[in-house]
Amino acid sequence: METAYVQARWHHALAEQAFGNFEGLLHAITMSPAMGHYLDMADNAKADPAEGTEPNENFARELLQLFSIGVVELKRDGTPLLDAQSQPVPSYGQAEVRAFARALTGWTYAPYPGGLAKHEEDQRYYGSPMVAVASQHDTAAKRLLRGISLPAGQTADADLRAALRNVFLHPNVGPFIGRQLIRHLVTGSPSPAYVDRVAAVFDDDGAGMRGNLKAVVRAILLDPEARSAPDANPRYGRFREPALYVTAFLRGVGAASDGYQLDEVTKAMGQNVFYAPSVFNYYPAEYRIPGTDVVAPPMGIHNTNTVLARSNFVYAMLWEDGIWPDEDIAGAIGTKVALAPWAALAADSRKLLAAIDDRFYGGAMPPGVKAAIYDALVQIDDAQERARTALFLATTAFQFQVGR
Amino acid sequence: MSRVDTIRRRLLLAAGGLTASGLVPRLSGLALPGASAQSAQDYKALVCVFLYGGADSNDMVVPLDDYAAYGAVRGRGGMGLDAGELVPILPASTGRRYGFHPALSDLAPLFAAKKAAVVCNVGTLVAPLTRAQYLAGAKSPRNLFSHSDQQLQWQGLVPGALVNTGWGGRIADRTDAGNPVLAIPGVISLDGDALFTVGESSVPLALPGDGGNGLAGDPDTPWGRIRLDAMRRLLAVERDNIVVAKAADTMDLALRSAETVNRAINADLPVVDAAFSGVYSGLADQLRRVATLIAGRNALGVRRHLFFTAMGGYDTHASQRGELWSRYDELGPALAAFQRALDALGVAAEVTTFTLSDFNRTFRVNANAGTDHAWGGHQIVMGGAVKGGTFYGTFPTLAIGGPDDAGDEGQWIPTTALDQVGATLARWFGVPGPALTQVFPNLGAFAAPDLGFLT
Repeated sequence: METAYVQARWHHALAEQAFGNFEGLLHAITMSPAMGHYLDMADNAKADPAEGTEPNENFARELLQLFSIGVVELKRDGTPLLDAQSQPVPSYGQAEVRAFARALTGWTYAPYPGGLAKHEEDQRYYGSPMVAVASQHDTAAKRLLRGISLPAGQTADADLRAALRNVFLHPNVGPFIGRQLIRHLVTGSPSPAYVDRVAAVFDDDGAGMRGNLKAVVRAILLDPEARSAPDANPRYGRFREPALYVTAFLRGVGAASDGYQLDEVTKAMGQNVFYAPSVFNYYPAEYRIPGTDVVAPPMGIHNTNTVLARSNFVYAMLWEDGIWPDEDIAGAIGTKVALAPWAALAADSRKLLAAIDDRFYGGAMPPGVKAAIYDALVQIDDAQERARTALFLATTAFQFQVGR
Repeated sequence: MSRVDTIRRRLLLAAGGLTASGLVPRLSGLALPGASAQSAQDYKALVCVFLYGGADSNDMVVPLDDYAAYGAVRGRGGMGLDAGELVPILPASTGRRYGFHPALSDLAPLFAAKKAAVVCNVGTLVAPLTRAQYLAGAKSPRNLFSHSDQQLQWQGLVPGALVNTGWGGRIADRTDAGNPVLAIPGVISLDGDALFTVGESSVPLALPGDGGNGLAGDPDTPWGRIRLDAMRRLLAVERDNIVVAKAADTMDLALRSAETVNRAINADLPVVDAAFSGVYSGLADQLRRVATLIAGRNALGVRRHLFFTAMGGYDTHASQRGELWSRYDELGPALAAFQRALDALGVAAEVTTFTLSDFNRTFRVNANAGTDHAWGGHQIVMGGAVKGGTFYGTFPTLAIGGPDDAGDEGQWIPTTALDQVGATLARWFGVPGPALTQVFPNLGAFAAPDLGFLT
């Protein structure tokens, strides 16, 4: 999985499908050899009584739990559906996981193109979607979600498409995926009404199409809850995860970077990009801040150690010459911040602060933040140091680290 | 030092700036009352080693005299351990030989010396449960077999609730580990955020397994002081937003604790170095740092320490034999080195170490020579206070569809509740009897609140 061509194709697939249809996205990730390797769908075979083996449940379980419907039945507004005893209703059980595992048996890596001899140690080709192996597919009937069954005798491809359709049509998908996207794009704790509006668009984009992701993203970003002034809601906001904090800083400050060692930077902040510790990614998707009911997933990797790494990154960029280039690569530039434009403004602390406010806070830097920075700047008699200090304080302040 | 390490070192090893006295004036006022008078007897520590991903304990401890039942299922599918590979132990409670996984061979001498024990078939339960009851739909924990849910249940242990605290944190709330007047929390995670460490009132400290924990930039220059004063002021203003306020509180705690903590973790401790000589892994780094913090307990002013360490990679859905071997080859030597360090520091009886994991794995093998998610599994407890050399609880019947199987994949229904394991540890640690049910609200559902594995 370290191989760049594997990762690149995986990310391209996500990018290509991001504004497509959710069912197509599900199909693309299910057929992806990278995912096939990661969650063991590749070479997953029907039960073998002689060996005592049964189909691998890894992909089947996470397909349901993480990629589509979640573990409990949801109302369209994302709140759990409750039974007569006021308990949440599981959206599937072990029996359904096993049925999906069987439905998805019989796939392996595509052959290398042009009949090229496969590499002896690694027979896995990641350049094309996986291909079916009829002899390894479980052809018995399977009972899937909502009591819907796949008949016996279907091909691996027919079973796979029908199984994904079964998932796609589950009413949980709109609220489950819609809320995840809201959390990543706008705010960790959206109101049920917001989730409901987005799920309604998932269910029907207005032209009768279900799962139109472009329409869903538009609905998320243009919702009144995303557009209205956030100050009134103390739970509103999106803690910038390390990768986005680093890029927001570098873009905002006007850095030149070839990306070298930026992964080391986010790793120190708890996000080892491209090496998530598990299929649950870098932080829990529903992480609630302890002592509150506020959901802020990236706060799941915010602690007394990673918080210092965030500050120290900004310090290294501003005072310690950024990241030095890789000496072994011609033309490498590392990561360098251009301080001169900021220092040129620093003769006037108010002008400097206004420019920083405009660039990093969209002109909405809270007055208390502005005052604290200003009072520091007027004690510094060097323009370059004033520029550094102002940028450091403004971008390490949590009023910036939490995007609103 | 390779160039690749450079920026990471600059972010994580920035401990130098915080040695300056001006940065953390509040700490000098701590004065560590009574610290010098504390003896080892006043001190206790619990050390959790969480095995993320659901560690397979069917291969952790295998019946040796009764190997046939294991071999019949695990001996096929290209995965299992041969009887000859196992490292024999003779638990006092069974009179029959069992064997540790070969990569856990370092645990066998500890087991023989009665410094380690195995608690068998532990898991999340609402109440004691039989196969017949389970198949008839009796109440069982929510979202069994799901990593995220079961991790939260193992660390949170408030069944039926979307919990926001962990039982480590709740133990701390009721002992000196969670004393809110302490500048340095008694709960320290070496593996970042973990629900286990979160209390109702006590807040955990997170330290890296290696490297420093300081703020870059010299605070003893005039400009440095201006910058830090402004940083502090920023932590205190415009806090109406809950996410902003909580994120800022974390920085406040980091700044308040960094100087004292860095002095402790930078201490020169040859006996700890010797104990960990030749043992290198992420978990070993974490446990080595725990030993260092324990050695620095008086300077930290903490009489009850609760540490969280962890390693991942136990979700062995494929190629389990090699994968699990690598994981246990990290776990066994790290645990043994840690115990050597505690022995050398003279605190073996004051520190109890225990493993936890999401769940056990299916006894049956899947199509990729791996195993899938299951339920009850074995956990290791280790330390001078452990009444070791024996099994606690009941070893499951290794039969597909047998009396302990929740279905027909070998998913053992736990016969000991995690609540009982936790309560046994908590009582030893000093949680008063009546408070045990506050830490473990479901403890009353189980007959024995103390499994007796600690003195």
